[in-house]
Amino acid sequence: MPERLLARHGAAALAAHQAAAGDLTADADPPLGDYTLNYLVGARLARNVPFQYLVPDPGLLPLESARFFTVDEAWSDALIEGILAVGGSSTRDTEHVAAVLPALQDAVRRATPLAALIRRRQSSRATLAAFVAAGARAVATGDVPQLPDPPPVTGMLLRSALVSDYPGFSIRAFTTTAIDPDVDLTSIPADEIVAILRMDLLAPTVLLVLFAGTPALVWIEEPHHGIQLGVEENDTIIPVASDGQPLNPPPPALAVPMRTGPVQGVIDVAALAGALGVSSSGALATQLLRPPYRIRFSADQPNP
Amino acid sequence: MTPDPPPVGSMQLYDAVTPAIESGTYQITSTISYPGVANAAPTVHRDFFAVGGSPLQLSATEVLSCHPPANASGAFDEELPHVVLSRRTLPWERPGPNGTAPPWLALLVFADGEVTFGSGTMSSELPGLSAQIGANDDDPVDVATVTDATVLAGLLPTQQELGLLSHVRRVNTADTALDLDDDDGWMAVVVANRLPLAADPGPARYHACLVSFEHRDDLYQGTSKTLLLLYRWDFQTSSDGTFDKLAEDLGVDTLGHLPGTTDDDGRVSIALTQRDGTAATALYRGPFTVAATAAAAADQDISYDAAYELGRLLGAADATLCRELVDWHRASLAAAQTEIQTAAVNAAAERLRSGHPSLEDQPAHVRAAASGLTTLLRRAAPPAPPRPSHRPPIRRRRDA
Repeated sequence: MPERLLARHGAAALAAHQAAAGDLTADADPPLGDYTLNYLVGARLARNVPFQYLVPDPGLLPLESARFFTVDEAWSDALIEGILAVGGSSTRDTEHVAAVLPALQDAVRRATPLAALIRRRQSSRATLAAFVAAGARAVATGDVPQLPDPPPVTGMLLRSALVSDYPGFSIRAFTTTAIDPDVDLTSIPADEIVAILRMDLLAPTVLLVLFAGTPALVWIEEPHHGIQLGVEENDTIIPVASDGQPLNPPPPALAVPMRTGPVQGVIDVAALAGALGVSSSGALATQLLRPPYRIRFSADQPNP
Repeated sequence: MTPDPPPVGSMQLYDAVTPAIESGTYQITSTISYPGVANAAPTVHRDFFAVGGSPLQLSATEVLSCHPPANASGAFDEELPHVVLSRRTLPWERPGPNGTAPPWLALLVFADGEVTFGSGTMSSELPGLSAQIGANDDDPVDVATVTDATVLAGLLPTQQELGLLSHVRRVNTADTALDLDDDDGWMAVVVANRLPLAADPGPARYHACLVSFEHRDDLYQGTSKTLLLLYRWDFQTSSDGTFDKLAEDLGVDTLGHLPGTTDDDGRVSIALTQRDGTAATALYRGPFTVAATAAAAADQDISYDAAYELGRLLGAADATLCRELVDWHRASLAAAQTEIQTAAVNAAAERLRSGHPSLEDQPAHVRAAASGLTTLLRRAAPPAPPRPSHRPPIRRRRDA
C-alpha cells in the first residue's frame, strides 16, 4: 500500500527530479576555467617561473652572452602537475586530478603553438582555453584526430646591454639558413618562419625568447622605431631615392652644411634640406636614415 | 582613414600627424527643441572638456625610447640624437614659438658645461609665460638655463627647421619586444640638429634636452636663456657601445654546459641537509636545457620535484587560479553526486512503478542511495488515515 501511495504522491516530484538531474548529467566532467587553462599553457612557456629556476647558476648566463636551449617537456609537465595539485581537499579530488592529468598535459602541449597567434593578436585567450578543453576531452575519450605532433619549444636567453639600451629590437627565426639578407620578408614562405611564442624581459638586461620549433637561423635586428639618423664619415651624406632605396649609380657624397659659430657640430638643417632637395620632415628623415644593423646566429644551434 | 600597417620589416615615414583639434579647454553647448511645446526648459546644456596633456611635463609612458640610449657610452659621433614619443600627434598638439604653427617640441643637445638644470615654479623661472600656454603661476616646472647666449643662438633651430626635425614613423610591432606594450606601431620622432663630437681624448658628456618652444619667441629675440625642460637624458661619446659593436661581441653558446659548475647533463649540485642532519647534495636542472629528453632518474635529481613544488607554490599564490581550481573540484564532485542521484532516482522510480524490487543489478552505491531515497520519499508522502482500534492501549506498570 505505501508503495502505491508513494507512486501517486511522489510521481510529480520524481519527474521534476529526473528532469533536473538530466540537465546536470550533461556536465558530467566539468571543464577547467579559461584562466586556469591559459595559465597551464603559460606554464609550458615558463611564465611566472622565477629566474633562479630557469638559470640555476649565474655562470650559465654570463654578461654579454646569448644562450640557446630546448624547453624540457617533462619539467613543464611536472610544473603543471604541481599547479593542479592546488585546491583539492579530498582523496576524490586527488584521484580526479590524476585521472584527467595525462589528457590535460597532452592537450596543453598541443595548444602551446597557439601562443604565437595570441602574441600577434590573431587569437584570443578564450579560443586557447576552448582549444585546450576540447583537446583534453578528445584525448580522454581516445578520439584524437591524427594531428602532427606540435613542434618542440626552443628558445634563447640574451643577456646584454643591447636589451636595455635598444628596446624594441626585432628578433626573427627561420628554419633554413638559406635566407638572403636583403630579401623582402613578406616573400618568405610561412613554413620557413619559426613563430615566436614568448618574448619577455626577465630583467632589464635579460631577454627570454621562445620559439615554436627549432630555428636554423636567428636574426636580431636593430629597433625599427629607433633606427638611427646620422651621417657618413667626415660629415658627408649619400642621397637616396625618395622611398629610401639606394640610387644606382650611387651619387657622389654631399658635404653636410654646418652652422658656423661657437657651438661645434650643429647642422644647418634648412641648408641640408635645400642641398638634398627635400622640403618636408619625412623626406629629410628618409635621407638621414641609416639602415638597421642585423646580427645573424646561423650555426646549427640550438641543438636538441 | 588609417592606411594598413606596413609589412613586417618595413617602416613608413610621415611629415606630421596633426590632431583633429588643438590642445586647450573647449566648451560644448547642446540645445534641445521641443516643437509645439511651450516653456520646455531647460533646453541648453553647457559643458567643458580639455584636450591634450600638460604643457609643462611629459608622462613617463610618453617617451618610448631615445637614442643614444640614456647613460650609454659609445661612438655616437655620426648619429643624430633623437627621442621617440609614443603619442604620434604630440609634437603638433601645441603652437610653436610665434604662437601659431606647430611643432612645439625641439631636442637640443648640450655638451657638459653649456647648460645648468634647475626647477621651480612657472612664475619664478619663466615669468609671464604661464598665461600664454595655459598653465598656472605656481605650477612646478623643470628648466634648463643656457650659460652663454651665443651657445643658445648657435644651437637654436629656426622655425622652419623645427618643422623639419619632427616626423612620424609607423612600424609593424608584430616582431618586436614592444609588442607586449599597448602600442599601435605609430610614434613621433624629434631629432636633434647637433652631432655629438667624438671624444678626444677622454669620453665627452652630453645632455639631450627635449624642450617646449610654445610661445617662446623671446628665445629668438635673445631676451631669455631659460628653456622649459620636458625630458632629459645624458650620454657619453667614446669608442664602443653602439648596437653593432655590442652585437659583434656577444658570446653565443648553448645553455647548460659550464665545466666545474654543471655535470654532463647540465645539472648543478646543491648542498642540502637531510632530515637526519647529514649533509648531502642534490642535482637540479631547469626547464631550459640542451638535453631535452634526459631521463634524469638519478636518486639525487630533484629537477622534476622542484618543478612540481614550484607549481604548487605558483598555483597557491594566484587567487584567480585557486578559485577556479576549487570551483572545478566542487563542480566535479557535484557532477558525480548528481550522477549517483540520477541513477538512484531512476532505479527507485522503476522499483516503485513496477512494484518489484529490482535493485540487484545496480552498483552498491546506487542501491544504497536508492533505498535511502525510497525511505525519504515514504516519509515525504502524506500519512495514511488512522485505523480505528479495538484494543485498549496497554499500560505498563513500573515496579516500585
